[in-house]
Order: sequence, then structure tokens, then C-alpha cells
Amino acid sequence: MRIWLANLCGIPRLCGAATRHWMHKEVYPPMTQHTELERELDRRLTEIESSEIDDPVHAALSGRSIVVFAAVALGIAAASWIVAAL
Amino acid sequence: MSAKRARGVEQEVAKEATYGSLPLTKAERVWGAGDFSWVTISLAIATWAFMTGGATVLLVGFTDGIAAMLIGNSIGLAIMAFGSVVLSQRIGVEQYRALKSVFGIVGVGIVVFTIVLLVEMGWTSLLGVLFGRAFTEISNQAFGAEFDTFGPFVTVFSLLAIVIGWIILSRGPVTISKLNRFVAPGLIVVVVFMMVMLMMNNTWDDLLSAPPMAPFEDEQLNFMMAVEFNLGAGLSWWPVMGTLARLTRGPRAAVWASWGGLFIGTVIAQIVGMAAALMIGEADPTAWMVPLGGPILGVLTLLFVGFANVTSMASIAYSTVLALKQSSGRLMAKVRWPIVCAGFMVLPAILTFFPAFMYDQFMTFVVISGAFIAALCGVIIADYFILRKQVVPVRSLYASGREDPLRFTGGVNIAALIAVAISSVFYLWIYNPITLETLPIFQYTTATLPAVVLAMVVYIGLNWLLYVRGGKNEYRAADTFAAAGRK
Repeated sequence: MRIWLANLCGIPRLCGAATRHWMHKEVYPPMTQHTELERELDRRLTEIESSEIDDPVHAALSGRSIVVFAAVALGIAAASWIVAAL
Repeated sequence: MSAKRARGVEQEVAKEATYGSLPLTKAERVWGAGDFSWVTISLAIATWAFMTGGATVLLVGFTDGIAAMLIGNSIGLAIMAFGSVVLSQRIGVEQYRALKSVFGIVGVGIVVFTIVLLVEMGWTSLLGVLFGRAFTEISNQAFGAEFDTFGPFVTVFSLLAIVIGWIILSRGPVTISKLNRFVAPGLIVVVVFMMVMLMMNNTWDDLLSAPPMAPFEDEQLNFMMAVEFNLGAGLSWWPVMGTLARLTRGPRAAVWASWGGLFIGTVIAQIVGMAAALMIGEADPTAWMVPLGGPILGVLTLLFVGFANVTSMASIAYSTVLALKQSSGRLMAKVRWPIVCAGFMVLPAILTFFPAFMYDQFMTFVVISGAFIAALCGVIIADYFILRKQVVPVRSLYASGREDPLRFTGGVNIAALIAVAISSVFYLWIYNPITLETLPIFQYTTATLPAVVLAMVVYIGLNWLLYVRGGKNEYRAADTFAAAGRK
């Protein structure tokens, strides 16, 4: 993953070279790669459901956060409505 | 397995996780609140925001226009955020895979290949046309050419924008994020510069007292139509924000950055559009930036705005192309990402041959797309927050066949599609943007708010009858991430 991301950080290649590269690569990956993708899916799900089970990245949005967010959005709308009415 | 083949598989898998349907692990959530804010600000500040401002002041003056803009975008973006961002962020799954929990796997495909595809192709084409007009105007001003600003050269430059957008899109979200790091602050500077140039040639009194450009007789109706148009503009972000938000590291970062970044960027750019339309009679900066700013500054500004249009195009197309891959099952799963991207760009490219049509029908397009998206958001909010209480088992999203816990009825949540259909028709009954007919209720509630409420009510009732009371489709599933708490 890091190697792939590092490759993307460079200046984009010229359109023609990039097009030739993609068009000549195999469109359909071998069946073994498809199976390995399924294994990777299972690995990721297992990791997410175990080591990330209590990670704040998966926290639900709290009622307080919802209320605060809605209050800000509605407050801006209400204030604007009042100013327009005046 | 050889090392080379392993690297190849790793690269494919890594690509699939980012480009495709695999759930992201924590390490792959690359955006903090700041990163996502820059993305959303730069998305919002494109020529479409100037045009939205200009369309607003067809109906109302500057101060009422600002009020309508704030009301519409604040509420529209909030509905959009609840209807897209929260679900995808929590489970780290691309938006349309996550929506299997609402619409069913086949139902998602119906939504994507109708509403989402047409709306996003329309926006992509519009951005291309605006890019084309910008460069046509640059050619006219800088080189003394006299190209028609809706003529064939607009199409040529529009097609160039689509090609550039395809190149950026093909390299994925990391490249988009890197571009946005300098595009976003640069756009803010450009927009401020535009406003300064406008006001150096006009007074604030002129601006504040300028009448709307083409209003109806009823002032209340004018204001509500302006609010409704801005609601539609806020909702129009729904197709793309969930997929982008899954790359963020927390729910509050996702919600506030998506709402706040889009809101700030929209407000800044729309105010310039409103001022330009009222003072010059044209919201599109391609028409007045060079005469006001001079050849050098004007051309540089237009170049930057043109580039911003292209990055916005790539960002919105990314989410949509991902959705197409997801919703097509195995049919497109084997097709390489750049090929799918190119396929998406075909219709927008064709539409660039009709630049005047795209330009003139902008307001109607925004409102009609808003009707359907309001209905979708109502259903999703009701499902995720009320019926599921924010619990969606990630593994269920990837199950298939008879063992699929989210099977609904042959892969379709009938209640969801019925609720969307009824609510959309209800919206267009309250306000028809083609005939401009409205019901009396529209002047007090808009059409969006009643449509969202109706979608929620119809969905909750039908879904409970068809699925929830039967105990199926994971409506009583345990929360895998309960220990992660609430933020």
C-alpha cells in the first residue's frame, strides 16, 4: 500500500504514455487474483471486527453531536430568515 | 507465490480498497478534518457556485439573496451530511456499498444507474462547459479572437477539460487530495480578488440597492424559490460525499468538514456570483474578469478557476465511478479503473456539444435533481438513525445469495424505492421547476422539507410492515463497534 501511494505522489505521466500503459495491461485479472481479493476482503473484515472494534474511528455519532450540529445549521437558517424578514 | 506476483496482488488489492468496494482499515483513513475541509472547500469553489449566486439574484436582491443562500445551503448541506457522510464514515465503506443496508443490493443499482448517474454526468458536463467558456474568453481577450462563447471552441476546450479530469480521476483520491492542498487556499484568494475587483468598479450602495434581474410579482414566492434553489444546491453534494468521507478518521471530522467546508466555500463564491450578476448582468466570471482585472491578472485568474473546475470534476466523478463499479456486480468489477472512468465521461463529452442548453437549463437541473435527492436522504436518515440506530454490520454488506442477511425482496428494499418515488412526486407536485407552478404550502415550507419528512414517514411505516417486524435484514443486529463509543 505504501509503495503504491508513493508511486502516486509523483507528477502525473503524459496522457499518451499513461494511456498506452493502461490499454496494454491485462483487462481481466486471473481467477487466482479474484480469489485472493476475496481472501483480502475476509482479512480486512476480520481485522476491522477485532483490532478496530473499540477504535474511535468507528464511533457512532452521539446524540449531543447531532443536536449541536442541527442547532448550528438551523440557527444559521433561522437568523438569516429573521434578517430577511426585517 | 512469487514476490513479484505478491506485489502485483498487493497493488491490485490496495487499488481495490481505495477505488473499489473493500472496507478501509484505520491505517488507510488518510484524511483528518483539515484535509477533508480543504477537499470540500475546493469542491465548493468552482464556477458552479458563481452561477448559483447569479441564478439566485434573478429572483431576489443582494441581501435577500444572501439570506436565501444561507438558509438553503445550511439546511440542504445538513440533510445531505446526515444522508451520506455518517454511514460511510463509521464503517469505512464506499457509499453505495453501504447503502445496500437501505435499498438492497439491486435497489442500490437502480438508484445509481438512474438518479446518481444522470445527475453527476450533468454536473461533469456543466463543469466542462464552464471550463470551455473560460478558455474561449481567455482566447478572445488575450489574443483578440472573436470566438462565440457558446460556439465550437467552447466544445473543444470543454472536451480538453474532460480529458484532464479523466487523467486526474484515474490516479485516485490521494492525487486529488494533494492537488486540493494548494487549489483550496488559492481559490479563496482568487475569489476575494474577484470581489475586490468588482467593488473597485461599483459601490456598496449600488450593490445593496440593485433590483433582482427577473423576479415574479410575488416577493414571498421569489424568496422561497431562491431558498429552494439553494436547498437543491446543497443537496446536490449527496452523490459524492459519503464515498469521500469514508477516508476520514472520525464522525465529527466527517460531518463538520463536509458541511462546513462546502458551506464556507459556497457562501464565498456565491456572494461573488450574486454581486457580479447584479452589477454586470453576468454571474460567470469568464465574461467580466479580464475586462475588470486586466489581461494579465484576468487571464491568470481564469486559468486558476478553470483548473479548479477540473479538480472538482475529478472529485465528483471519483465517487460516481466507484458507485458504478459497485452496483454493476461482477460485470464491471474486472474492468480497470481508468477504463470505467473513460466510460463515465462519454455522455458529459457529448453534452459539451450543446453548451448553451447546459448553461440555460442550470437552475431547472439543480431543482429537479434536488427533488430526487431529498427523497433519498429522507429514506436513508430514517433507516440509519431511526430504524437501525447507526448499527450496520459490515460483513453483511458483502454477503450474497440466499444467506445474505440484507436480501430484502430479491435484493430490493421495496419500501425504500416506494418512499423515494412517492416523495419525489410529492416534491414536484408542490413545486414544478419546469412550469414554475407551486402549491400555497410552498411559500412557507419549500418543497424539500415536506418531501424529506414524507419520505421518512412513508419509509418507516412501509419498512416496518415489510421487513422490521419480521426480524430480518439486520434491524436487530448487535453493534460490532459498541466499544468504540460515541463522539
